[in-house]
Amino acid sequence: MGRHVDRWMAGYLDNQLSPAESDRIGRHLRGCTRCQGRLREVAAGAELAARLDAVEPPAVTIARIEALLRTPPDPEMRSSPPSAWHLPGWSRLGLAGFWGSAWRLGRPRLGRPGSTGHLAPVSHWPRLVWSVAALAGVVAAFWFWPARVSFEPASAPPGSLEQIALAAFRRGGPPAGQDLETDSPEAARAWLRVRGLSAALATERRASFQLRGVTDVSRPGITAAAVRYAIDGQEAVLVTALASQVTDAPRWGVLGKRVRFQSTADGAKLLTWSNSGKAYTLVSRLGHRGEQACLICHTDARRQRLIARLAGQ
Amino acid sequence: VYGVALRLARDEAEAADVTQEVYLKVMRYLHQFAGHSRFTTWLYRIVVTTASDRRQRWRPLLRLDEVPEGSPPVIQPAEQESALLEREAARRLQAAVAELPRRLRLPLVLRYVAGSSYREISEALAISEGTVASRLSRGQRRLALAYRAADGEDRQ
Repeated sequence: MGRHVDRWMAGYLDNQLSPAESDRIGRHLRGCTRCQGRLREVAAGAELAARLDAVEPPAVTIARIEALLRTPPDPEMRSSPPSAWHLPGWSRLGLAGFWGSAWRLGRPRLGRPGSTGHLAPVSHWPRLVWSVAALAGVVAAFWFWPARVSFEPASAPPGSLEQIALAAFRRGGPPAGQDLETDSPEAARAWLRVRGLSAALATERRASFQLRGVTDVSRPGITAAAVRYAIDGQEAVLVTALASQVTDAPRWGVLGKRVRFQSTADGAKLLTWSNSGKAYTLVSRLGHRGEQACLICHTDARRQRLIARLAGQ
Repeated sequence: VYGVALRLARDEAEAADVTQEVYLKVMRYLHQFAGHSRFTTWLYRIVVTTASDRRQRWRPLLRLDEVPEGSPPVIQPAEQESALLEREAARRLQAAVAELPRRLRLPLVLRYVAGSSYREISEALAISEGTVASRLSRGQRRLALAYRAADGEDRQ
């Protein structure tokens, strides 16, 4: 009777098998009641699956997609390809690997049993020195290696967070309607929290930082808000949205944060990143690539140093 | 695209998001389509990867438009009995498909919703045609059993 033919049944019913295979399956089926029963079940399943018809999406989804596709991409926007952001992570990993190898090589060598080598006195100093050096190297690689960035011409996709942020930045002006005009970071954070969004705004008052307010810049399918502020009188807009609703937010790289830098012909600089399920785009005309606009939010001294170093490159 | 996404995402809102993301990706990466395979194969590969990506970063969020479980179904008084039965059967079928493991559901949806051939499914899912046939056999059988079980439960 031969082996059962379960795995070939769909192909047999769909005429996807060669004539020889079909004959073999047919012969087996004629003599095997178990497989006959199974074939009936597979055929019933095929009948059911054929009743799964193509479903039209809801009208609101169609309208949303059409609106997104109609949004023209900004031809002047330049960005770097996502692959470039993997470099810092891999370079750190490589450096860590190098130091790890060095540590292995620095271990005291023991002779084979039976040889005189293993009886010789062994100095532990090389191992200790290499261990300390390796540890210092790994720490240095992870903490002090600056993120590498590069600029490559590319267009941001229509409907991306960058497009929304750029529109909010260019529109300018005070918030209106249900938006909030405030200089209180606490009030702005509460306004964002109600919408399921968040932004890290410095709580301490600084002379150089003036919060203007928060504006609802949601699009169909994307709940987004713009936090407007000024640094030394220069306008900046931080747009935040749920990362799950944004098509193209850079996620965490291999070992570090991926930030996409873009600039436009009229001097607007955009930084886009995501964190804890939220996507962010910061638009300003500040700093080398706009990083100085970030400085105000970060109270962590190490991150401030990193941002300052990036801005100085 | 929406029909395939609906069976992969298990949720209408999620399927709408997948559809939107797929269209944006198609528009963005259309120039990368080299024509080595059929356009639909390329398209459905994007649908499958997009649905998988979204599934990995999925977070349990309560949507405001979600109907809480256990709410009584809304039945229009003018609805005919046959239409009601048909709708119920469709719901049961949808539930039986959703119960299938992902590796069996993907080929089934591509075969019967998208109308793809064995070769196209194997290219879209990066598996051999033999594996496609095997998974279809198992998927179809399990679908029939799950549907029959749900049918039996409803009649009890």
